[in-house]
Amino acid sequence: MEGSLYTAIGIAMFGIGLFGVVALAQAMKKILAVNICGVGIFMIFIANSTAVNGSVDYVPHAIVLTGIVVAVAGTALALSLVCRIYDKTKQQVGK
Amino acid sequence: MFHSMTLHNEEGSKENNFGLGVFLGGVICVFCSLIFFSLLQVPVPSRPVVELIEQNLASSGVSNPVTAVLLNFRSLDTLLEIAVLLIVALAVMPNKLDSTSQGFITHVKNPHRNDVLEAFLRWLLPSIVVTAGYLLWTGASLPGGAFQAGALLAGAGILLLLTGSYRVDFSCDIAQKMMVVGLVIFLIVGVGVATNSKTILDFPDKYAGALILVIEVAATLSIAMILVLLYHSLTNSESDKYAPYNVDRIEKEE
Repeated sequence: MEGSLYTAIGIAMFGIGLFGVVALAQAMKKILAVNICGVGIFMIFIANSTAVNGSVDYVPHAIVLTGIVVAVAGTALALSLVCRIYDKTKQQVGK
Repeated sequence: MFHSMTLHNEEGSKENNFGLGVFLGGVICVFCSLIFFSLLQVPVPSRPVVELIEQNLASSGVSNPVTAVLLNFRSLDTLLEIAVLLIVALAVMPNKLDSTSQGFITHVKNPHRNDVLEAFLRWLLPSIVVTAGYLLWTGASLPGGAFQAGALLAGAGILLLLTGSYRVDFSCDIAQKMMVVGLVIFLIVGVGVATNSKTILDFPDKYAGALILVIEVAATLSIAMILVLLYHSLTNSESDKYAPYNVDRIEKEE
């Protein structure tokens, strides 16, 4: 399979991110971990976008570009929620 | 469920936590290797869609296949993506409307003024704007387009915020109009072409290039504006009182 090294790296990043989401208590670290997860998924997507004759499928590329922007938006929303919670309660989410 | 599974750093339960962490790591390692080896078994697909895209590229209005997919063949995804950005922008908008604001951008005297940054920006900002325009234009034939150009412009805006010499009010009219212009133009064009072809977002071959350019220019403005707003709303929260660029704190000190 083409790009199996990149697939392996993507899956490893997904695993690291998944471990972080479950194991880390702090909200900031959880958000970072979700981002690492997402980047891993994008990488798997791109690494597997080749066809039999070696040509590249453009649709996964376009969809990943869309996904990156949505991931940025989601991260910003999560961070603003964390900031808002800290402003209201003066406590961090998850010690 | 998640709360009981998180590793709390409370005294007395550290060994238990370490064991749980090792167990979790092991489970995730096994899970990931399973995914990897199952992906290795999958045969490489033939992907007939590649040929479809290449056959119809001439009628899409642009010569870069990725841009053609983004703004013509699957433009609904891009439309919804800009809508998602706008929704997030509304969610992080400062909830108190500033009635004392004197317009979109006002100059503030900053005692912690960073001369190096400001002098550097005088050189950098014009070139960033020109590069963003180039990226937007080149998206028709090479990698580039609205999102890359918007991200660059947003970087320029964030650098301006970092100087701490400008108070920006995102609740004023012009900022709000700039934030929605991308989605509005996209919708107007998408519904407008339906009068011709009975399908929304089905651009006529002759005008597709021009329509895509109009959409991308508007989308660039909106994306840049929304990204700067996201940054601004995070750095200007009350909890960020030690940031050198927090304009509210600078004014209080004076």
